[in-house]
Amino acid sequence: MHEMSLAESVREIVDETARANGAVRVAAVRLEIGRLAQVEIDAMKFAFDVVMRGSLADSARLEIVECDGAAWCMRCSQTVLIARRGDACPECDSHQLQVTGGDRMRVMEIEIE
Amino acid sequence: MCMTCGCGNAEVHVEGAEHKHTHTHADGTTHSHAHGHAHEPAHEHAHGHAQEPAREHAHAYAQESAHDHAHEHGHEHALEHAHEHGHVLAHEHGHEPAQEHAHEHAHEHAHEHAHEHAHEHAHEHARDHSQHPDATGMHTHADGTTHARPHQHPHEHPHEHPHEHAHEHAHEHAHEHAHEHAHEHAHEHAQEPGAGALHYGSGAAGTSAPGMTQARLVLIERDILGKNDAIARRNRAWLSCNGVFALNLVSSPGSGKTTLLVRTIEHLAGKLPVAVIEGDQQTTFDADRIRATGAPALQINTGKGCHLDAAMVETALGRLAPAADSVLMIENVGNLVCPAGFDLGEAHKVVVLSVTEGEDKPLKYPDMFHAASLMLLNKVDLLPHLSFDVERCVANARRINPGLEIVQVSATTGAGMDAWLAWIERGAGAARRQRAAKAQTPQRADLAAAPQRADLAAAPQRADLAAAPQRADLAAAPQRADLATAPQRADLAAAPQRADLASAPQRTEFATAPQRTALAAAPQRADPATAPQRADPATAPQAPDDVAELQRRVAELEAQLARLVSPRVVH
Repeated sequence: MHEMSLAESVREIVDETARANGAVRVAAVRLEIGRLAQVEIDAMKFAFDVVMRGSLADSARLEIVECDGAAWCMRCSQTVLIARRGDACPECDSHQLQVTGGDRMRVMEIEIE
Repeated sequence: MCMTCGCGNAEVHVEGAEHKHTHTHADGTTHSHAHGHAHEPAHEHAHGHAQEPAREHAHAYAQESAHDHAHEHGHEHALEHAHEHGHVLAHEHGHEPAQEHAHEHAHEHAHEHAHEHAHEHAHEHARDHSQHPDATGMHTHADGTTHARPHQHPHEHPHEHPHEHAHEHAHEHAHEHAHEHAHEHAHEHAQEPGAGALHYGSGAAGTSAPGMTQARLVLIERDILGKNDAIARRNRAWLSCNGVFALNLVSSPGSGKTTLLVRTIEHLAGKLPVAVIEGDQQTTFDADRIRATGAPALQINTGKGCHLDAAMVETALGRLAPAADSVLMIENVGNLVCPAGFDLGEAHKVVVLSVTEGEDKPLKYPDMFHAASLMLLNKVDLLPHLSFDVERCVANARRINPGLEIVQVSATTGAGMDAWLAWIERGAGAARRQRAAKAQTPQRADLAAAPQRADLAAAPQRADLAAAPQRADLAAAPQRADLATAPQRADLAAAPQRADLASAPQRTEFATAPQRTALAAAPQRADPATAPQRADPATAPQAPDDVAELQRRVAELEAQLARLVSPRVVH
């Protein structure tokens, strides 16, 4: 959802960090996108290319690390991996799950020159 | 486009604003703004900021010479503040006659600070040049490199350029100089042979790697929705300090939110004061209906926007100024998708689903039902006319969110209203007690009036978020370093061991030790290239934000556990 505006936010973060570190060019940007985050990866890649044009990160390589959705299963008292909200626990099939991770999108690091 | 949601050209309008200068910004907020620009050169000036409500901000540009540029910012910007100044300067370099010099300054300031950011640009360039009318043109730049350029520089730089950037860069100031003469300012090269010295220490890494450009990785780890979340946190703190119980009402269009609100206000009249923030793309119909009940309401029109965000609510809070110990209802834009991802600073999201919508909605829109604390199943008076399976709907909702409380209501007949009102009263009572407790231990007293405060110089957390860690007025900065180090980490480590939280989930991010260590260690690192990052406004709050986030989650989970143990489903 809103990948274009998310890409704009990424650009701001990248620009700010690059300038603060005296970069002339950003070679690569690594994002971490959780499986449970409301972000569509292909749309994100497209939006990134469009939005970075003209910035220090123009033609930067985009690396997306997808991280698994994690949830605490109340029945088996452990953290399990889930692909989507609403999925049952892979171990015990319970739906009593509390999402604990994989629901965020972050700019992890950039490679600058 | 709306910086938050990317929807069209968001012409967000918050009703009731008296503007000296109505600005609708790229980020969708409007604010008032007294500008005094007294200067000649073409000064293109685009601001994007999510502003503190009811804040005046005056930019004073005093220009004496062709290029005298002093910024005074005594205000808080929650957003990056990009200034683009296209100057055409009377800047003769003398090597080519009457050369116009397009001097592009791209300043990116992450203004999460409330101090005076009086820019003094030590424009080394000017000074160095004045030293050396040397035939070889040999001169030393601020970054230590020297090079020879065989040209004459009889410079008169009327270049009074007071900007001081405490930024680390190879070049002392964050400028891209589009100079007409072949004069490289990004000095990463070793000097001309035969000049007497080779300087490799000027590059960003401070050293040389044979055969490689000085590429390096810069760790960021910033949440994309960090900006919205930071504003939401401020909203939440303000609401909490004032004992205001705030609810974010979400649903698809036509579920009956507004009618339900009108009924709710009528029932609470005389018992609890209620204020309402209404969100719609267009019209003030909803706010008008609320006001007809006697309760204060403020309409936010998002234009093409599809949800309310924290910045809009911050502005609205400033204008609406809900009374202490009151209830604030935020009726979000009718949309079962987008509002789920945008924290406004509310105590709870309440999802309103009407029986005419189908019992499969919780499965179709899981994010929204997962984010809510309470579901109001509305229009139950119509059940005899529909084939809606209430039990299946409840089961579906619980599948997505096991701890979801559910109340069946009819705004038209009044069925179930008592349970809904009781839920509100419980929450309002808790908010009131929390404020009373805080009043006794005013640890965040400085946030009590946050949205209306004109002077944020006293806010210690803002000051230390500045990008200039060396500044004297950032004596508060060490506090942040404290927050980033051991005591909080110990708390985080201790939290999962609490007996009553034995089943508390541990966020996978927190469980990964290396990240925490990096954050805890960072402020102490002596490396100049990285130290400012840690103090960088965007990254510095990472540690305490996570603490607040974890505390919030812990509170949420405790509540959910309590509900699971003794479910309170009221039919």
